[in-house]
Formats: sequence, structure tokens, C-alpha cells
Amino acid sequence: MTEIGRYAEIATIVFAVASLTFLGLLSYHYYLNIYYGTYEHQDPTVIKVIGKQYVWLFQYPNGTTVPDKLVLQAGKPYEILVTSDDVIHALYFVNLGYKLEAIPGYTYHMYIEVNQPGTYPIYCAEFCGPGHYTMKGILIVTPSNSSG
Amino acid sequence: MIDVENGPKLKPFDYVLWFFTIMLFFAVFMVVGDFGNLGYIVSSPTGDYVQQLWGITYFLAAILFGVFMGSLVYLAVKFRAGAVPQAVGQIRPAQPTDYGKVALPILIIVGAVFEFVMAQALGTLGTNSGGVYSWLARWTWNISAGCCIL
Repeated sequence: MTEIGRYAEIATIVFAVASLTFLGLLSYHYYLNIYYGTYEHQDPTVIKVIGKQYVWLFQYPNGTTVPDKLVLQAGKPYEILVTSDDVIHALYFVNLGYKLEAIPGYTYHMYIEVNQPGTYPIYCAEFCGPGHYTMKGILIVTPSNSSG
Repeated sequence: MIDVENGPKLKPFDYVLWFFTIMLFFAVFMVVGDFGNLGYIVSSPTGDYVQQLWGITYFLAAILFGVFMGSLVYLAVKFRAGAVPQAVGQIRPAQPTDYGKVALPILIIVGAVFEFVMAQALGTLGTNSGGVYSWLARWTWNISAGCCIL
């Protein structure tokens, strides 16, 4: 191999390592933001989510439990606590590009804030039984000036 | 004997065509993937994270695709069968590669990343217990150990 070829090989490897390192650190930083949240000072509203074959139950702070429908207010931070009553599910907000496992006996949490009002689908992203494909919900984001 | 020194040489215009082929494949990759834009992501902090990470990853992937696929196609066409004279004589053995030059930067970068991530995970970086200094001390030890291994 020529000297230029050797330098090119090393430069390629260093470029690849540097790129992956940068992506890894950026991902880790974002992961910490999602997991630990950046909204603590805003006192996020806590909503419990329970996965059951084949329904998503959303429990609001006032005790109301609504199946398959999550209503949030645009621009307001929420903390989602996810668990399961039977088998493993996965709460998947497609339009947020994020999903969270729902495992019996464990509770996982994520911080969520949506700025754009609208109606978005919620899916179960973990095969949970014959009716897995029916386990759908909707996320309704209302404008910030209306009551959520 | 056909090798790098004695084989057919690329002219300056060939390098221009090579570069153009790479750029062409890069552009095609970017256009096919909508320039790394995820149209279905709504405006939210989490969505912005996903969009940004995907955009960077897609751009880097486009560079990789352009360089490798562009080079593969261009060189395969340029040196296609019949386009170059047949090799005659014996093949010179390949020179050994100095892996130390490759391994050292990788070792240092990987070590730095692991140390940084571990320090973040353990919450020792930037605390009052001399976290930064202990981190630097461990780093010095790591570089020394890496050099010894090499």
C-alpha cells in the first residue's frame, strides 16, 4: 500500500470513529433529556398508562381512566408512567418518533411535550397476542388556550 | 507487472469524473431520502431530537454511500475487462500494514468516550469531590496503559 493509501485508510477510520462518537454523545444527551426530563421546573402533569390485552388505559391525575384516548394540551409538559397488567406491550407514539416498553411489574417513565395541536395515532409496538393489531389509541393534542 | 506504480494512471480529468460520480451518488441518496427529513414527526422536543439525530445520521450515510458506491461504480467502469492491458510477470508481495498507526487513535478515542460516558452515568464529572481531576487522572493512566499495550 502506498503512503497516500495508508493515510487515506487511517483518515477513513478516524472519520468514522469521530462521527459515531459525536452521534453517540448527542444521542446520550438527548436520551437523558427524554428520560430525566428538562421540564422539572414546570411541574409536569403525571399520567399513568396501563397496557392490557388489547387496550391502553390512560389514568389522569383526577382519577379518570380513559381507554385508548390520551388528551394533552399543546406546549405543556407531561410525565407518562407506563406499565402493563398482563404481557409485554410497547407504547408507540409514531409522530413523536418515540416508544416505551410496558412490562408487568415495572413502571417506566418519559417526559412528553407536543407543540403542534392535532390527532395522532398510538400503537402497541410489541407483539402481545392474537389481537395485537387492534391495540390502537389516539393522542389528541388540544390548542394551548383550551382546557386539556 | 501491473500495480499502483506500473499500472494505468488516472489523468486529472479522470479524478474529476471520479469526484463527480461520488457527488452524483451522494445527491441521489439525499434526494431519495428527502434529505433526511422525517415529514411525519410533529413539533415536540422528543420529535426534534429524533429529527436531528436522523438528519445527521442520514447525511453521514449519504457521504458513505457516495464515496463507496461512487468509487465502486466509477472504478469498475474505468478498469473494466478489456480496458486495461493484461497483467504479466510476478505479483509483488503486499507490504505489511503498521496497525499501530491505526489502533492508537482508535484506542484513545474509544477510551475517551467510555470514560466520559461512565463519568456521566456515575455522576462524578464536575462534582465537588474532584470529579474532573480524578477523571483526568484516570485518563492519564489509560493513555499510558494504551501505549504500553501497543
